[in-house]
Amino acid sequence: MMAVDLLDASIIMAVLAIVMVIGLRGYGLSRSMTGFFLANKELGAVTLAFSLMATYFSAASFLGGGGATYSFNLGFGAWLTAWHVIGVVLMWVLVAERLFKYASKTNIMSIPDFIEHRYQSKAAKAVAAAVMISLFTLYLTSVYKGGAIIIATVFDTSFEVGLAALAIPVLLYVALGGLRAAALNNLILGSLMLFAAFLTFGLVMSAVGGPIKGIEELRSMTINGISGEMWLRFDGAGPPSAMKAGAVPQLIMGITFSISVAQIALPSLLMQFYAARDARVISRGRILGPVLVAAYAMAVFSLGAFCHLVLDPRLSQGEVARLMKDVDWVIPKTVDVLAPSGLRGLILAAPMAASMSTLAVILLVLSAALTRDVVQLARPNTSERSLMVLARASPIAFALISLLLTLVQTGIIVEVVAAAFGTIFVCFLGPVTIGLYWKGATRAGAIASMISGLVLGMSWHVLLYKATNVHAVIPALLVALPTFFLVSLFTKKPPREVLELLG
Amino acid sequence: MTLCSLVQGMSQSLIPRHISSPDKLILLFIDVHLCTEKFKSIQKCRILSGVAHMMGIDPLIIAGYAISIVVLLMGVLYGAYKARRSRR
Repeated sequence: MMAVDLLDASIIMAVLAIVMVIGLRGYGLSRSMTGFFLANKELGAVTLAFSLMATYFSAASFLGGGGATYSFNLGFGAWLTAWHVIGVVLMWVLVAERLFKYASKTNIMSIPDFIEHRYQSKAAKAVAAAVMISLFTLYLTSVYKGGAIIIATVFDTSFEVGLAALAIPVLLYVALGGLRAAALNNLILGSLMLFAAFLTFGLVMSAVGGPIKGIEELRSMTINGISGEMWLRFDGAGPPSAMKAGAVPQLIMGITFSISVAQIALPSLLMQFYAARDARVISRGRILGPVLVAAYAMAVFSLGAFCHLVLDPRLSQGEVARLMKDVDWVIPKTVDVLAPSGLRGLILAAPMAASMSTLAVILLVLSAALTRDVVQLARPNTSERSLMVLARASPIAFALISLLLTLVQTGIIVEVVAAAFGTIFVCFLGPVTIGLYWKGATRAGAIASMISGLVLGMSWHVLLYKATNVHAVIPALLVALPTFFLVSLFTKKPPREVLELLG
Repeated sequence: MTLCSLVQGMSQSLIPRHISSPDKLILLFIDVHLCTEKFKSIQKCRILSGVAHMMGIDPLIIAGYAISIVVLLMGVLYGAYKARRSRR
């Protein structure tokens, strides 16, 4: 831990204050349900592209993705980047336009809304809402962890205090602002995140003398009793159990695939396409969106391995071993060593504030799922005013539940994100992404696919993932997707007027 | 130098031996950059193994970065094409 640096602390407080002010400004714009959840459908291409990037990338990606190659070989960073680029391109090319057109012809506000309308089924909507609520609550723990680590590093305090300090402004911000505020903030935070990513990349690369020299030095090192050469081999460095079993490549591919390709079926991202002003926004965003994600991924995801050159000479062997077990602390510690006062605050303020924004958007998604997809379904006569009260109050409950979960879960960020995102991807790939194209998809197929994906994905992650080194997304996908097709083939199709909306 | 001879020269120096004619460049492109499960064919590719040898890194790691760049370029080009078409 370092001593508190007043300049760094002031910068972080200033960024938080800006985020709060925008949240308060968003209040006036979000008095209706459409305003609160869909930013009054006024987002332009740049705002939308940055909003998607900042929703997806937060302290979890900066710390978890950046630090992962401190333990894994460089293949983790390379394939995390590759799958991210594939995922974001597929999202903009295959999903964005179709979903926007469908949403603009109907009155849907969320992914469960889409599922209800597409399959003419309130039961399918309720299952979708339940899947989202359970898995996003798990995902939030990784975002909380990332933000809390940064606060703990900068303010020289404990992880628990950092967690509490992050939760309070998030709750205020969500309860007052809505997506309009989140999207405006995301434009600023997305720019800050890119700035922080490039700056950190530049600092690390200049410290190690560039990537080629860094690789040469890495090769000649011995890290925790392992040759540095193992960081340059795809079947090289990784968790000890996976190395012993010779399962590092399959583990890398499983985790990186699960985290990244989830973009094409992730409700927190897809619902933002509904908020686009018009079809031209989607058209322009298709160019900017992938560039932003790729630039960030290339700058951040391979840094961890090079951090050995910066950190290891300053740490004892025991500290290096501990850091390799909890790699989420690697990037803040490296920034702490390399960046001067002020710049360090600026770098760490970006992912921390982006964590706030990501938490805000996810809490909004959960709030929408509860308010519109569960309460409105159970009590159709509830007034708009009562629903708005619930929409503003329910994020607090979700935030507190995930906060408590963060205190008890011990996994590193990338594994938690992979479990949550991988299972969400499995559950929604058929009903949402394929359902946008395949008219043969049915209500029964969608429900069977979501339930089988959730049950198998979570139970595999808890019971078999560590023992087999096979990520839950693989078996879950192999069951949920055939289930979706097979059940759909033999059950009743939705009415023709709904299928015509698919184009 | 004509475009044809340039492509031919590139193909001779860059592509694996088992693909001999320039018109199969597109097949090579798909083979190298998109079929991630075909790791062995990636390892045989001269471009990747050349870069990998130069940097002293496993070709499968280089393949990850190469795929990122190629897919991004394809995505951006497609996006630009669609944006131009929607303006008309």
